[in-house]
Amino acid sequence: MKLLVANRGEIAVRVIRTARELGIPTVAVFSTADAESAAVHLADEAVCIGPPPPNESYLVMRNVIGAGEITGCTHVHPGYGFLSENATFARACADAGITFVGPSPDVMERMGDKVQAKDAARAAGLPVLEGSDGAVSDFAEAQEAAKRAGFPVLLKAAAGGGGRGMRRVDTPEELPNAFDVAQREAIAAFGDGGLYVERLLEGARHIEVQIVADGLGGVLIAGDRECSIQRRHQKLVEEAPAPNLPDATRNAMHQACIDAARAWNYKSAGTLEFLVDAQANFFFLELNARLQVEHPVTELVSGLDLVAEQLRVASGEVLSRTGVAVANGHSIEVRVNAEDPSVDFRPSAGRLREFHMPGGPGIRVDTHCRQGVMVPPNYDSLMAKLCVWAVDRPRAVARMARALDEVVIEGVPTTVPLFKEIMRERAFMEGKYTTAYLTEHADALPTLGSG
Amino acid sequence: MLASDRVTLAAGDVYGPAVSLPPDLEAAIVSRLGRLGMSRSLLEVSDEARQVSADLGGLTFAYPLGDALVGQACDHVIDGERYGTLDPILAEAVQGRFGAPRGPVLPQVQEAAVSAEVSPAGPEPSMAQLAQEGRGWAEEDLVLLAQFPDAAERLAARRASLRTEVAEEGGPAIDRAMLETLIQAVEGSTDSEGSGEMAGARVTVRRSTPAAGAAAAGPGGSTVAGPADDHMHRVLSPMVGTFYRASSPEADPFVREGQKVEAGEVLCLIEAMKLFNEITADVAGTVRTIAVENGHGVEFGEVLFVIEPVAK
Repeated sequence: MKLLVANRGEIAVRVIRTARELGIPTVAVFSTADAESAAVHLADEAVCIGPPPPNESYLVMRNVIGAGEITGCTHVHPGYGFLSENATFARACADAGITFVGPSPDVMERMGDKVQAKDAARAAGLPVLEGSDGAVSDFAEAQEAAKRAGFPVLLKAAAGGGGRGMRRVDTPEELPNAFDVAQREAIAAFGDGGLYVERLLEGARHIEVQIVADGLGGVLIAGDRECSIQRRHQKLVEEAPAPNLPDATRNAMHQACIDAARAWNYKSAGTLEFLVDAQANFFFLELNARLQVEHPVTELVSGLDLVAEQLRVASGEVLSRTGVAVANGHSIEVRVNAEDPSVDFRPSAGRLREFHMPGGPGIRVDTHCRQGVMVPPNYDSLMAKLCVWAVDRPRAVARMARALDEVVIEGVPTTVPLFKEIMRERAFMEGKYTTAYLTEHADALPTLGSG
Repeated sequence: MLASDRVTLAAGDVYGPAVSLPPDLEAAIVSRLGRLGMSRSLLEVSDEARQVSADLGGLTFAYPLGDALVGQACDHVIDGERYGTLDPILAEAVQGRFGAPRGPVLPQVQEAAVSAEVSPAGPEPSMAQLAQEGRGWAEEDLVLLAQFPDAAERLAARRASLRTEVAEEGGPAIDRAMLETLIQAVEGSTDSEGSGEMAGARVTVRRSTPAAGAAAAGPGGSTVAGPADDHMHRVLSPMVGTFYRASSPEADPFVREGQKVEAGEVLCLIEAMKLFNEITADVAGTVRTIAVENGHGVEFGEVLFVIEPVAK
């Protein structure tokens, strides 16, 4: 095996680390903005694939695959983001004789479309939120579906993601206007005006289940994660296992995921995202058919190396373990982003004059940054994932608070001050929070600057 | 941590402590067995590899013997037969090509080694051979050639083309490394020029000014190109792929060094994902250097050609 790492930043470093432990040679790809990056230094070989803008480098399939071809790579790991969920890319890799480390292109395609994914979930017996059966074609259908689901409802772009083409509708009277706006937004953003209607769950938690399947019948439930602390549908804090989740719910979710993975004949690592309401009912949201940013918290409590499992499965191996991994202790991750939490998390590029991350017992830091490097404006703002492990949740929270106090970053604003406040905020300390956390507890989080 | 009542151990912990080969070899076994659907034989193969090492007089798992030992062990496990054939490198090792074996060699192996086909000169050219081929190489270059044939050939070709470039203009051969040192010295100083003796000629490098152009020659010297800011035009690769100088293996190359080209003329092909992309000259001029060997990979931004533009 020779592995092409088709990504940048901390995830490229993360993948290369496991490959090195397994003795697998690696090839990094980089844009001219990343010529001195950690991934380039750690990989055995590196190939420049273009200028800084992602659509001229990391998203150019021809150059990424070309890099694999000229270096004789047998496998490509896409990381997350960029080409990781692109079925066309996965097919092009196969055509070039390079094995894509991930699920089959057909599964990626089906699960990438919200409507098809929901149908597949329903067929696999997963509970889904009431709403329209597939995309609605006109307003009358939308009205019918909204009535069935019960207000408030959410209008979502079938082709969408990242909050665009999404509209909350509280009353039947608001629907006509909201439908028009959402449809226009969806056409503008995705070239596809398909919308679907879904019951809006309030006061819900975002909980997800990490699976790995070998496509040969073996399914591993690596554990669940609580990811409710989000801004603009992007996660900031994650923990494993999900706190205050009743055993019966947890077991039912895990079993449902095993059944779904089998029904879909899923292969590789994946995450099933759920909303869990106050009565602990769970509803399937979507499948992320790739490694996720927050996978380290699961690794810390399960003892698994998810990248190693992905590589095994991609080589046609069976999983090292199947069944349900029981969490040992508790783990929390915070995303140290180059963003200013006081101005709506505005991303900010700059040179890192100081960059010091914590150490000591129970700390894991996944980063590509070091003192003196630029955080370029062209890519996402994630600088480091700071993770802690401890025997139980209260000690994990205390450890994270300690670790955050050791962080020194100068040159760019960061999310660290916000995390320090969260670790000392009562609802978080008790593990009782929902996706509305940042809004509901803004008073206790002065860094947000909204008080 | 796994709940034992809900867990099935599918294939044993193949990366566990029982396997103690170097990790790269282990990974090679894993991938080879994986292709054959024989993943469960990893422990067997690693045990066999250690046995083969002992049978052959205690060979170490170092390059190139490690790969050969593992390959041999895989063959044994896959074929269910020991020493049906013997890897030629192992045969040479038994015969002492990599030094005398540390321990006794199994007689069965000894026989197999004698009957194995060993190429008379061994896989790499000997120093004597290379020296005979001549090319006027220094001994350290020959060592490079013996160890890294591809890279050394490329280096030599590049160096030769540089020499030609200068020689064509009537000057003596100039050591590029020295020249670059000189240029850097001028760039890094406040002096407007610097000079040095090279190959019996005096070379002067002057700081370029927008009007005067690039480095100019001193009296009795040669006009040469500085590495970055000179009047030479560099054609950079706009993509990643394999570099081809001709439209097919039989065809003549699109261009040769010293050839004049027009703007828009095809210089080479770069292939990625089975698609061939024509790279054209963006200026008219004379091709001074072809910086990449035919069939080699190029990355984005790599220098492909150096063209001396037609003076305006």
